[in-house]
Amino acid sequence: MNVDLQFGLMIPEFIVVGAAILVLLLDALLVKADGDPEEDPRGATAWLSFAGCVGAAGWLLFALVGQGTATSFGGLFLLDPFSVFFKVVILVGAGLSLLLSDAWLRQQRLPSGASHALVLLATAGMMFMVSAGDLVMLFLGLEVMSIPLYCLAASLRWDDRSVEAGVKYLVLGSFATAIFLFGLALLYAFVGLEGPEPGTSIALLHATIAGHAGALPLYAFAGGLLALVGLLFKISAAPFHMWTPDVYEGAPTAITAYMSVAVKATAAATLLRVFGGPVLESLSLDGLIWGVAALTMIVGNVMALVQDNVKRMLAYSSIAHGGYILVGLLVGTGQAEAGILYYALAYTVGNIAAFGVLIQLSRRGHDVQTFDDLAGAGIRHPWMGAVMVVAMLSLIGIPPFAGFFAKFTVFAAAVAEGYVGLVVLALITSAISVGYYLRPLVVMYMRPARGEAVALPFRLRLALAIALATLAVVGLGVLPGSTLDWAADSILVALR
Amino acid sequence: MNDFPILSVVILLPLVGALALLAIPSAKETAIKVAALVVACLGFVVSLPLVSYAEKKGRFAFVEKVDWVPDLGITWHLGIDGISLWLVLLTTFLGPIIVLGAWSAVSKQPKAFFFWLLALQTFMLGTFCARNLAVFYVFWELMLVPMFFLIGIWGGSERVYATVKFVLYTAVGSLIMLAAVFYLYWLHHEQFGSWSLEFAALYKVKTGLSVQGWLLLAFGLAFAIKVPLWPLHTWLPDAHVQAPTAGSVVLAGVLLKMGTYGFLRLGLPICPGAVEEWGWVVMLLAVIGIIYGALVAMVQPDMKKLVAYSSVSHMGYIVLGIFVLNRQGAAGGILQMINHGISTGALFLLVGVIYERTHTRRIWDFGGLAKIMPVYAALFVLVALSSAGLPGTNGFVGEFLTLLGAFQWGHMAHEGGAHWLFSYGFVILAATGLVLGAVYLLWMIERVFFGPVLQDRLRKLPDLNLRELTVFAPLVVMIFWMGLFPEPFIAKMEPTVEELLLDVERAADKTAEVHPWLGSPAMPTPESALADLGEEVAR
Repeated sequence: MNVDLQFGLMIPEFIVVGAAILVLLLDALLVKADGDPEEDPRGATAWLSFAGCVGAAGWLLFALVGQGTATSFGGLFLLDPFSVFFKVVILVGAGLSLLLSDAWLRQQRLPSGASHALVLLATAGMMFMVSAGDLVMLFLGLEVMSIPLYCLAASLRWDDRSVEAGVKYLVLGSFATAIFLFGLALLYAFVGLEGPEPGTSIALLHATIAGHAGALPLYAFAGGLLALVGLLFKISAAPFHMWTPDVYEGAPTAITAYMSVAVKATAAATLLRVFGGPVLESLSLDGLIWGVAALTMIVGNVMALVQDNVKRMLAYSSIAHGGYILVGLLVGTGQAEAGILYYALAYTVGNIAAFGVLIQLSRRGHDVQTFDDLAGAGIRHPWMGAVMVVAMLSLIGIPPFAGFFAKFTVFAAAVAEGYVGLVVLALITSAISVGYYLRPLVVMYMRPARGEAVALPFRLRLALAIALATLAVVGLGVLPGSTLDWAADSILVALR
Repeated sequence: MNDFPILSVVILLPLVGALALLAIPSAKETAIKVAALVVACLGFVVSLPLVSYAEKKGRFAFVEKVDWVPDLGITWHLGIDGISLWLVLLTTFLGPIIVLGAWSAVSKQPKAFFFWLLALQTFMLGTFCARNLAVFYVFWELMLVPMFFLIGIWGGSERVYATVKFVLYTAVGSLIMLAAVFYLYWLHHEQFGSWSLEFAALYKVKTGLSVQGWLLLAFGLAFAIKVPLWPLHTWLPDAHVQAPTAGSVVLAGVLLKMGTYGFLRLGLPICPGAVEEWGWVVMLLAVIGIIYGALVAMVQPDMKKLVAYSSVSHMGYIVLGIFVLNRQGAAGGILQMINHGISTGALFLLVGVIYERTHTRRIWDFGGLAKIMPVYAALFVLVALSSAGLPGTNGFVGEFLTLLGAFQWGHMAHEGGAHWLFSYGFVILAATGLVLGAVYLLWMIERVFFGPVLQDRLRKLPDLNLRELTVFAPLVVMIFWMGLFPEPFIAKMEPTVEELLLDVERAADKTAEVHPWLGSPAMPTPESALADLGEEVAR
């Protein structure tokens, strides 16, 4: 068989993996014999990791954007506008969280090199996953993404909560992966038995589903269902969300930021790639997704209301946002898909800004965990307060911040397809979300500060990440036009 | 027309000024206050040329249109007509008054306070000038943010509760409205094949009666919460009582008008059929609000709460005037929007003055104030009377026109065969509310200003100082100006009002021709189908 090996398409992935390897080497060179965690005073590993992400994103944007669809490795690897968009989103999330995590690790006096390398490797896995043209590739990407994340979640080895988070994530994640793999196996069987030729390509799967006359066999439905469940776990949709709050709470704050944005974007991309457009309906899984989306929005928003821990609140809110993304998936039109793309980007920058504030306000031994830890912070630290206001308003969906146009495009597309009930539910749950997104602001501005005022150190990398994320939230909200156009040009199904 | 983007300047100037304010060091409090005052005054001055708005039926003046997100049909489209003209001017007029009124009341973080106050002005002006639903919605939602902080940081002891309640109520309303916006947006796309959120485009969407009913319910809930219409008013007393004086003045003066303005701008033109069909329900709620607000105001021990409930009562007149769908009612309602902004705003300022001096607002803490602070007392009585609708003051004109409109509506309904109790009930109850209004205001005045001085500490209270007199002087001028010479004010809004009512009437007639759900022409009845068939056979 003639296999085309176009390595050029994978240069962004090579850059990221290369950066990971270099970071590990550099870390080994910089570390002192006595194991002093302050081994890297100038933040060389952090800058290198960030540069890796920027380089990869830059390569995508300048060399590979607008090239149409190209394949490599016999269709295993797909480079289309869709994957370019999501890779940029993932790299934005990864790059900014790397800067956050560097500040956080230093603050906690922890070594940083290994952590950065793991983030980069997970990012490479995600990039392969959104570029997968084949179920096997998809699975490989999923594993490459997940295993570093398990390690990262548990990276605070002496903290019980972090270890618990890691173990829980590992066990449940492996379980979900197994379910996913079983689903893929059944779908493979379906293609082999009913399709034009045996194979694991996603396009072939879609063709087989579309070309199948009459009701699908039960095992094909089961395969679709199991594969879907595996991905729903990754996007933490209810009722597969149970791991999320614990993992988000226990994991290092910066890693939580990374997981909440990058994993979500990857899972959304994969769901769209495999189940987007008419596929859900053909597999008769649309009713199920309707229910899951509704349940996810309700569970995420209602549970977020009753949290006292900010990280848990943000974890449930991320579940809720997953629900809104599922609404777009269910709708399946080009508008909805463009909306999801925009949503992924808007959510990424908004969440990074919020986590950035939490990290900036944390000190060694005073990790911001509960709302009380934020008391009076908005008045003491006006800049952090302002960033939090912008981030929370964007997450609620108040214009003119990024989150508004994200919700606007997805919900408008849903109404256009007649999902009025689901949109009403989405808006009601958005109204509930006002309740918990206001809480950080209430606490930061309207409760008296406790303890002595401590001047926060200026940390260049952290400040850069927060500033970039905040500017993006405002910029995407005030001038959404070009990004919306880009999203509309990057979808898989045709616009109506 | 005019090439200078005057509306953008009017809208954005306070926000730019607010951002500039941030550059002043926090320690220089006087500089901050002066800068805020200068910005607010400038805002008023640049808005004055808008008075040149010509009262013609060409409708919108000072139009600006720039693409924002063209694919979604979102444009930065501004313009004012006879309705928004006065509301814009009211907002810019109150701006400096509020800044000056808050001069000595704000002790903590003055910079942030004036920042939010000026930012709020931009958002309110934007809402009044928007000609595109997206622009309207953006500013509508943004208004929440400054108010949230103004009440929550500078408010009274229960401020957090009050501000969260306020934001939750309003946000729920806005999100319900958003559902209606999506639906309308989609209907426009179905019928015209393009995505647009222009008001003018959305007015053209053909909808059947049941769709209009749902749209009116969704838009109406959002607006009714803002007005607030009974029984959705419960956030208002909390917000008013806890808010700092400046917050209360903005809230009563301008923010409440957003609801009634929304009814005029979106409710009536988009759901004309539903307004004709079910408008009486809104009128009923308005009248209940008039009576209920007045009765509750009567028994309030707290002066600020009393004024807050009087707002519930007064806003009822405005809604009533709008929904009777005739010239007198609508003109009276709009005029009353301005009047209420001036009179109730002034009342809140007056309550703020005494609170600043004594740190109490309880009516029974006072007595005989007229002897101690004669100028203050005279001013208070004058403003209260204008609020109660004394002839010669602004309140009279608006309330009189509204009642006239309600009476006419009743007359028409009676002619149309409705029971007299239903027809004239509204105007009878509204008129009763007027009497009750005089009762609670005068009773409060009696208890606060007359009788013996019960507490010695009151004897040393200074009367109004020069700054406070400067605050109230323009308000008093407006009270008499609008009361004695209302004609120019009405003349500018009348053509717009007439046009609006005519449009509503025309559109309401067409509603019946449209299929109730699909928005397409009505389904053929068997008879019409037969006739069509006959025609075809004949051909």
